Amino acid sequence: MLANYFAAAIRNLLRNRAYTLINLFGLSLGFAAATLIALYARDEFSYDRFIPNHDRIYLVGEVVEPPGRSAMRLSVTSTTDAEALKFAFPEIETATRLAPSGLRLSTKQDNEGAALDSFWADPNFFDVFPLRSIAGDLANALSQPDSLVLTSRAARQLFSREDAVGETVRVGPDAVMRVAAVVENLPSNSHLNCDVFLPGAASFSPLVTLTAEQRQPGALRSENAYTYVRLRGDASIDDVRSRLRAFTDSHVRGDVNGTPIAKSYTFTLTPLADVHLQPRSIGDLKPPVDVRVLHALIGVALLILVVACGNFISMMTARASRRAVEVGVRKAAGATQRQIMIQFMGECLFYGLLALIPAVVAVELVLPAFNGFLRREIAFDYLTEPSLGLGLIGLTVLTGLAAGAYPALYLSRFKPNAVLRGTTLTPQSSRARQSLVVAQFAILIALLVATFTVNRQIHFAIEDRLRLPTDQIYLASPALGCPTSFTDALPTLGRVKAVTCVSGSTLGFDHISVNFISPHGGGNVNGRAAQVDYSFFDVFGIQPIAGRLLSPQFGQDDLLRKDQSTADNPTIVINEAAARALGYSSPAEAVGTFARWQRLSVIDGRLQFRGQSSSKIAAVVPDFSIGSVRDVVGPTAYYIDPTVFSRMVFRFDGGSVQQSLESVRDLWEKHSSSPFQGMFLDQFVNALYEDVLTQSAIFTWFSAVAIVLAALGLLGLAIFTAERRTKEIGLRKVMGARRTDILLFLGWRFARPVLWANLIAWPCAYLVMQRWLQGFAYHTEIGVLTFVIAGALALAIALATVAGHAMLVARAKPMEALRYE
Amino acid sequence: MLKLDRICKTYRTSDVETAALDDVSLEVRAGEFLAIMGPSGCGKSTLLNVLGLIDSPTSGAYWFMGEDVARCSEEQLTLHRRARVGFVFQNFNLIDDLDVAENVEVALLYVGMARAERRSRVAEALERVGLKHREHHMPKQLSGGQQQRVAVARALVTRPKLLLADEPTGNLDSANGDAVLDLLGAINRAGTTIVMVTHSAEHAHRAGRIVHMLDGRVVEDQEIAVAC
Repeated sequence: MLANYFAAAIRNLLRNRAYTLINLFGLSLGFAAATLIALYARDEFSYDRFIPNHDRIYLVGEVVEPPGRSAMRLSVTSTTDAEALKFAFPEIETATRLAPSGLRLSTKQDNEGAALDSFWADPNFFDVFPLRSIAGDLANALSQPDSLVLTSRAARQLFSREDAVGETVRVGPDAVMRVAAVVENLPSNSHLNCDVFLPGAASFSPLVTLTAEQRQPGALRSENAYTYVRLRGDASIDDVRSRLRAFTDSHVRGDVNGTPIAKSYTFTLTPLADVHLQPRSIGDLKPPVDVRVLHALIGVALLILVVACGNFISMMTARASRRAVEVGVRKAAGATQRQIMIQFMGECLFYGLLALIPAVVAVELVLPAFNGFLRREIAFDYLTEPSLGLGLIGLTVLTGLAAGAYPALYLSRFKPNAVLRGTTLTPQSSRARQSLVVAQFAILIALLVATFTVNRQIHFAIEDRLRLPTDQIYLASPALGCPTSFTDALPTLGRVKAVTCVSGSTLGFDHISVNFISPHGGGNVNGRAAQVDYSFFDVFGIQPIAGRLLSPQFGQDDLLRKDQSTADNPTIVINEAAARALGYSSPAEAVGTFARWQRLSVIDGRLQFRGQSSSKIAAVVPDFSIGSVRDVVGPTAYYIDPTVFSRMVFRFDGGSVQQSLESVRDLWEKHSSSPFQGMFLDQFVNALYEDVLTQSAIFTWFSAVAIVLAALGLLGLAIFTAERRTKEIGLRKVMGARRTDILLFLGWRFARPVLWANLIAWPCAYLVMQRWLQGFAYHTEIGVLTFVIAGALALAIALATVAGHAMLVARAKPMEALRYE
Repeated sequence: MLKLDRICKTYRTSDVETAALDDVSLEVRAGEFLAIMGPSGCGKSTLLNVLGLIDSPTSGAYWFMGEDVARCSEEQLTLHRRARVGFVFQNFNLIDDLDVAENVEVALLYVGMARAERRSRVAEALERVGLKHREHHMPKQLSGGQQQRVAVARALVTRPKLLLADEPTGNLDSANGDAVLDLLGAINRAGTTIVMVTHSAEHAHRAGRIVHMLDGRVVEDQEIAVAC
């Protein structure tokens, strides 16, 4: 029986080559796209699961929520926390730390490993993270203060070979260390991105120096280390978490204006496998994935499969009349409906398996480029990885069954007495096909709206909001500091348009508070302190909305440069958010008034707000931030405070940015032995939106896949309709219809479902994308035009798809058409 | 063998009711060769479908080989039909995607027969209709007469007790039509009961009995003295 079914299926497939190709190509494309998304999603969910005992290892993080301010998540903690946690919780088997080094590594041959990410690590690091050693003994590799561990990539970059054990490496300007071991590269699905592990036990390691500083009485708490703890096998994480509050209250010391700092702190313990799935935190080693986006992508994969299945169902039922006789004969011969269903389900599964082969080939071919784009090492070893192979087959079988169920039911319900007499088939199938086309185009239009919105939001975030030549603004590394001897010499170069010194808080890299006493009563207003130099506004092109910018002409503006210990406050420039929060009705109203505010500064080695002091508001400027549009720009006060300047920002002339940068680098190297490092603002912004850029590209690609699939479905239907309507078209021509009339007739027939599709797609897409945009504090709006363009594009695609075939039909001589039937 | 008692079959659309069979009573004896004649739309094919269990009557009783099947479900009718009834249609109804032997084999697929036996039965049936040498041809490669002979082979391969033929010569020229009639005559003589719908008086007279129908009713039941 199977042979008979198989023969019928194969010959039917070969007899209708065009349909077969369209059908198989559509299914293959759907499978390939869904497989790629599934591989990507699987990779995202697989982070750090390769580490033995990963379910017992936790990254210690912090949520800091000072009164009146929104919470900040940190994935770094103080260097002292690991030891304190281990002491306080017997459940913790071991704790280990990592701290970024930023030091440059080079060899005796002056071979500098380009962009190697080096981290200081505790001696027991490889006990918690037992990476595979290629050479050397990992157990004691970091126990000596002058021995380090390289990954094979770092070894190759520095020594052009992997077996570099025993070689010496210059670390930073002065230190020389010996390679104790070489480990395999960390896979891309790890939240760690280390190339070099430096000995945390070295005397100049921040794990040593910062720990010593943090232990000083009254020391300011600072977060510089990644702390990991591994629980004992029998320990309960819930028990540990339930005692974290008490631990925090006793461990985090100090107060701000009498309020214990500990009240603002909450420690978090994130299982290693979940680190990549957490919301963004300050200090993340790698940008985490937004799980909602991942779910959306899985949704897109399902939609693509739905569109592909839709095509399949549409084609199978459209061609049903060609199989009707077969069904009738088989039923007359005694086949039950169930047997006919099984036959056609089997046939659909066979189609599915046939489509799987080109899909697998396509994934193999595309995967290297896909990996390159995502900077991943996603593997597709379906032969060696049974779960992947079975998953593929499972996907095929499920899709085959889903796509085959309706055609099988539809075909098996044919009444033999009707089909064997040649009675025309019921029109329900035609309505079902029309509904499928509407559904497919609704999905396509919704994906187009999503793609347009994601791209518009990126454009808004990167271009519209900053309105800055981001490729001309250079953020120097904080390691360089802001030495006046260097900034004073810069004008001699003549290549730098402006340079400013700023604090990390100004750029949003950390947060220093100001506390305004509201002039109109009510509570105090807590804001961000942005310590800047005169030229800050020049560098970032910020113009005042009202008032004047900070200037050397006004002595009160630069008060703190002259007297760091003064209790007086310098003149400030505030942003619109601050003006609003302070109750001014307009920016102009704020200018010239005196605001009472408190400045956070270090007094007697402790971080404290100084007493209230009035100073003049010189200007109100627009809300500005180079940070993510996800975050609200809060009230900000700009004032000059050289004591907290931590980095330089340069603005170059547009013409010769690279040469200018080289000149600055040369000048720097005359001033300092440390290397000149930093990044352009566009690099920073692109890194900030890396996830959104990736999402945008993925949405664009898979929307293209959906477009091709929907177009294929329509093409198949167009061929079928034209075939079925040849006689009708011939008659219309005999009755005097012109070619354009026929084209309009066919065009309208295919335009109608697309127009209906808009009615479904628009509200759905609006709701979903509006929700997505709510994730950004500042976002673009979804204009009516977006929907109109998406609808028009879908219509254009539909008409372009059927145009060629319709043209052929319309040009045929009427007698040929009439003879056809 | 077959007994219809006051069988009615009506088709309903939203506002029209059409009686295809109107109070038809008829008995077919085992081994008979019965021809049904009448103008188009008089209910001949509907009667044949009811007799062959591929359609159910709206009312009345139908004893099929001694069992009342008028109210049987689709599934039960299928089981009764399986291997007991063979069909031959005017438009041959061969499956385009299967070759001659495979088309004939279809009739045996659902009776649970071993493959080897199926093959030998197919060869025998094709031998009987003189088309053994064409077993691997596709239907499109055969003439109309040959296609109808394949259909006959398919109908008799299960060795059915009843063979129903709906205008089996309607699409054939007279020579091919006569050849098919000869074949049906031979099958009948071998013991198979045959009910045939035809427009051709000449072909009808090769049967042993002719039933005339008009507007869904049997208007005349005529025994022919000398069968083919």
